[in-house]
Amino acid sequence: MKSTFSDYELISRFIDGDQSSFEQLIYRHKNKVYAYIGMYVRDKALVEDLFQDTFLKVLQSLQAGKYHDDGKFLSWVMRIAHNLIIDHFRREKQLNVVSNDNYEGDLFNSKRFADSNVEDIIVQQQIRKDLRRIIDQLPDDQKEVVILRHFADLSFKEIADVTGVSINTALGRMRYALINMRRIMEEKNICLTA
Amino acid sequence: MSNCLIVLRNKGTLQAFYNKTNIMPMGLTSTPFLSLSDIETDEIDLVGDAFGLSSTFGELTDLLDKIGSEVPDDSITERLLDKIRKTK
Repeated sequence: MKSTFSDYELISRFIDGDQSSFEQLIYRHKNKVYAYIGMYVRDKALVEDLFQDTFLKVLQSLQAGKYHDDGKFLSWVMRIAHNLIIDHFRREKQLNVVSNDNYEGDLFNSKRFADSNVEDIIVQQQIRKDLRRIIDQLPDDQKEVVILRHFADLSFKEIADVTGVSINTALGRMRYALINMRRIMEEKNICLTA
Repeated sequence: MSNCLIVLRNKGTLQAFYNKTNIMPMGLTSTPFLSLSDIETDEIDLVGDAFGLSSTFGELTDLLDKIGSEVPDDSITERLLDKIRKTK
């Protein structure tokens, strides 16, 4: 479901009554939002709940006329996702990332299982797990930039918008994050290859 | 071509360069002209590239890019769309 309309055009069409425009917005941004939530929350069911809540909140806000376009729709959606994650952990009175062994889900009951070599998938899953452990040890501001850049696939300009800092600050945080990741891997003698 | 290699050191820009089919044949010493539209930048963050992140931390950024992110299953997207349709 690819659309040539900009986010702003889709939002305008949705507000004018074209319901399918909102679905096109979901298809356009769902992967980034899901990946972002998935890096903070390990329980897969909770990721889905927060993913749904994010887009429901976006829908309600658009219907209530609370969104004023400044060309940063994705940044706005990401902030909503971020606030919902924070709210959840506040409610749970647990500020650390939830640890849940079921996070990886049923590896063999996935579409990728049919498409790829099983051994490759297992290796990739292990590397992802190790990388998450390393990223979890980063300071929050550095961790956020790494997640937004490499897992939510945002540009540095978009990261600057989402986090409310300048592009230079976002770049600096990324540099420190990568330096720290290298240090952690050296200290713990971790060698990752994909 | 060697001139280009010296100028376009950053990995992403080099990738963009090599992706093009108009690379000069061997033996020619003149520098090929690249217009802005010739450089494919869809997959490259020029800001990050200019900052030298991929050239300085290549082993880490490559790993992070290769591992990538988990995307929602079709069933998750469908459940979301069902909820959205009911909410409307």
